[in-house]
Amino acid sequence: MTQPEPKNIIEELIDETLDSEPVCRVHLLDVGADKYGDCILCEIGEMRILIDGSHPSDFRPRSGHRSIPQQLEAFLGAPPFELDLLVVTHAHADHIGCLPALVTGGTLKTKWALLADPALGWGRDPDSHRVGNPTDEAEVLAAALREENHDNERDEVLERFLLDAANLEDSYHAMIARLQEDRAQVVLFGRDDHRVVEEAFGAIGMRVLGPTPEHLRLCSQRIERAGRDDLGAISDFLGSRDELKGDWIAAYRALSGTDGGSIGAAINNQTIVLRFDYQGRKLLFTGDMQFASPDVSGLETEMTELRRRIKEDGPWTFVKVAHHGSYNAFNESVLEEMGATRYYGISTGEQSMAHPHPSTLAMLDAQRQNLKWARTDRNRAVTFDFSAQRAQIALERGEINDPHPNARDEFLPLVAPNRENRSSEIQGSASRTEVEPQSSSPPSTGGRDDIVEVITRVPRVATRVTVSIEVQPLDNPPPVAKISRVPDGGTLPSLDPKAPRVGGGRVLPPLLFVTNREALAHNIGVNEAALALQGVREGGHMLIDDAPSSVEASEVAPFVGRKLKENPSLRGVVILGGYDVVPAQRLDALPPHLRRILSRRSDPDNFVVWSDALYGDTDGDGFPELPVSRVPDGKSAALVWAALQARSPQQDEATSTECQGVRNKRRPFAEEVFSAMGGRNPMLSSGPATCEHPPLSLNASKIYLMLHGDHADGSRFWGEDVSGGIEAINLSNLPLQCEGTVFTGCCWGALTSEEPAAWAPHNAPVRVKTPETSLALGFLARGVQAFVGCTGAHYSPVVPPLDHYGGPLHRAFWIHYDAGFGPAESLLAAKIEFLKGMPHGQTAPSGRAIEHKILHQYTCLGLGW
Amino acid sequence: MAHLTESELETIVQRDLPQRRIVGRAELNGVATGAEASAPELDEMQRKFGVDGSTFSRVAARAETDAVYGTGEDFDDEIVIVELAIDKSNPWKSGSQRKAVVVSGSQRRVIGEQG
Repeated sequence: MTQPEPKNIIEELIDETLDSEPVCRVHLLDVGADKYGDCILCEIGEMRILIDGSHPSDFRPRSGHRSIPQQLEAFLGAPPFELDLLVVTHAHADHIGCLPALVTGGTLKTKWALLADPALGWGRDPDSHRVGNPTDEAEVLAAALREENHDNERDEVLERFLLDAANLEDSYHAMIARLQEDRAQVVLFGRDDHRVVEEAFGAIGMRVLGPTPEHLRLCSQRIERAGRDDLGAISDFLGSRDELKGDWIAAYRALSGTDGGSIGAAINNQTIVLRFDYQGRKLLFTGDMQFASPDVSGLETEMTELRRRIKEDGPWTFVKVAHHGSYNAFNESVLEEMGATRYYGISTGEQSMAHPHPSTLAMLDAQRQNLKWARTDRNRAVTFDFSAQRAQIALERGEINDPHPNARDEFLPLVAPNRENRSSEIQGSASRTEVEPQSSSPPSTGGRDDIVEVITRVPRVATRVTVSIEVQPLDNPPPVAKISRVPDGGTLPSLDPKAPRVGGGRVLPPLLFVTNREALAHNIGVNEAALALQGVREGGHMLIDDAPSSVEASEVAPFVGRKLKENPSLRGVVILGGYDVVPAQRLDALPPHLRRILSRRSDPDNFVVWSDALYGDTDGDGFPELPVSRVPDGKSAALVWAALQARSPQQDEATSTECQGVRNKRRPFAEEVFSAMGGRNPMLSSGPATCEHPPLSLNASKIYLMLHGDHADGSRFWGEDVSGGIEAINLSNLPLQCEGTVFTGCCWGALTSEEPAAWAPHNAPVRVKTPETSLALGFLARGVQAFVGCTGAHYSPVVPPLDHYGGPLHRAFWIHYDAGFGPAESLLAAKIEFLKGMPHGQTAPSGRAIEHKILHQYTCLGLGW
Repeated sequence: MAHLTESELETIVQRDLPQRRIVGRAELNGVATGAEASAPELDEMQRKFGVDGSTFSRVAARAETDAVYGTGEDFDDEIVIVELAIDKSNPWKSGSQRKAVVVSGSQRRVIGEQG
């Protein structure tokens, strides 16, 4: 996997009197797409300290973000990751995060651990804790309501959050037990004497500034009381609302507006606040401490004292802004108490709408001449390097000092602070101008016929916002709205409010379309799904729209097989929807005999790949007789329209031979494949070509890409130079509309789910990519006839003879395509030809294993006909 | 079937991929979950399409290059994970940029790469 290059490096002199160059780096890790989250790796002298673990789901890469393990590996080398100190600041899921998985999986080890005491965090007796994860609905909801508010998340994100919250306490205890088994020095803050940790790390000036025992006691009292009262209140509430029973998501949304905030505040205010002071560099880490507004009765005095200690110990070289930049953690007074602190870091996820709070950003922006700040929601992973006289800030993306709030809707602007007087408070009153909230996406109609959901965010100031909502009943459906923007600032074609014409109106052979109507509707909208299926029927094709809603392809395939047997004239199968609509099969590409004798394996997928071939297997022998293609919806109705209506460039003689190709510099075999395709343009090689030079818009009848891919980031493919990966193409290289067929030898190039087959959890819904996170789906959304590629890691020959691994299949595909077969048929024919030639001279088991993987992992996305 | 030693693998990788080093054989991320089904055996699939699997012999299928480069011994190929040499001065270059490469046991050279 290619490490992203930092996009922006800022360097400036911090202290010319410093004459030594100790190691002092603070890495704010990318905490992913979910809201909130902290994960900070510090390199101070010879010590490596990790503070918090982001979200549980960041254990794996998601939505184009690297996972926490991947980022730790970049700084700490291959796992197991060795730390000197692990800190968990408080008992929230977006801080405990994936640490339990890392520790219990043996991936992370530490000599010392300073941890939030779970008894204090969950309001229990020190010698007891809840055994097993809660399954009772009220207990699950109570666990979720302890956390930061997630009520405006999408259903699938909320579902994951509820599960994570329910599992948190148990997994945290398991983590502590494993640390103790591994003989780490475990100190539970508030129960054990934390001064032993301060002594152990005295050389780097570690001190815990708070909270005090009294401060902790006040918070734990609130948590314990809420734990009792809230559970009863939730049970009563559920008892009075029959329609919410069993619907955890709806129940959570209904409950989250109640007073769940104070228990969350009490947990936040248990944060371990610590600092390091090493050779003139002073670092302050504040977790989620609500310095500005504790929201826990009786805590004001303790908080004032904590702030005084912080002020006296300052100023600081670097401060991690508390509570993801919330208004309750950061105000003018707090900023003033930081004194001459210059560098600030804000940690929160990409989808954090209210964090950092606009007022926090406005305060920092008012001081931008004196401050430098970075934020992970915009900048992703950030490194503050104070190792020399010059400070260096490296950003993965974006700009330093980005003052823009994340809220999509317009909101009333706050009165700007008086720039001439730093002590002025943000005024509570705001302009009385009425503003119409604007949404960048149309309200969802997916899934439930009786509800239209509109989310409006209003700033916490004295104001009045008027919201008008017009709803049309379903018997008079509104036009389908435009879809989201593409990265280059243009817009994809608007969605036609009529049923799609499959194949653009071409006469196609009889095909069997397979989908689950409800699941498809959930993803792209009820009206949209109905229109799409209407288009399939009007095209004269057979349709199964009630495929079982199962996560196992083997349970769905018999329904398809029966239809194929009953209708032998059918020429192919088209699956309509992603893996969460109609599942793909998790296939071991190795036959049993080869699996047994393969003694060692380092294939990134363990030779397990996603495959749709079983839907075309009419005789049950494990190899398809009919071509299979899939239109993954990518949660985009526009993609479905574009893919279903895709035309065939083979029918236009004037353009049918136009070719474009880009290859990794180290893949010379691809030149021979490309030259046989008969185009006029030369194949680009990366390096030296990059995504920006020469300017490239991928729009030809035949497009061949032989580049590196990454399962975590499907929006880019890479070439190589002597120093490593080069970004060769990305979504900005795609035009607004594109006809043609794309064939790729890129690892995971046709992976439409977030996780490869080997890693996706069983019996759990598959998370899918979108046109914004996947080049494959991006091409489909622009109208290509097919995107053919791998669902796993691809292998290429690099020394002559270049006639093994992927090479033969690539050649065979284009030969059949140029002979006039459609993409789906060409792929099946290429597989048969490849199969006949296996193992292409590879006699060793590992080599034969790779040949099997090549055969089984190739898939055809798009209509394919 | 024999396997190349770690030392032999390192020597081959250093020669063929001078800027990369072996980091191990473990799967890149976490524990792989199980499959729902296994692919059919190669000879069954080939018979379906008229290829007589009995004519496949390890001697007949050995490429000419194997005769040129091979040691005559029966070695398995090795899939190893390699990464760029670590550059500590730039945190964005440290660690990853990993990929799998295939070292031919009989030819004692890198014959394939992931990607």
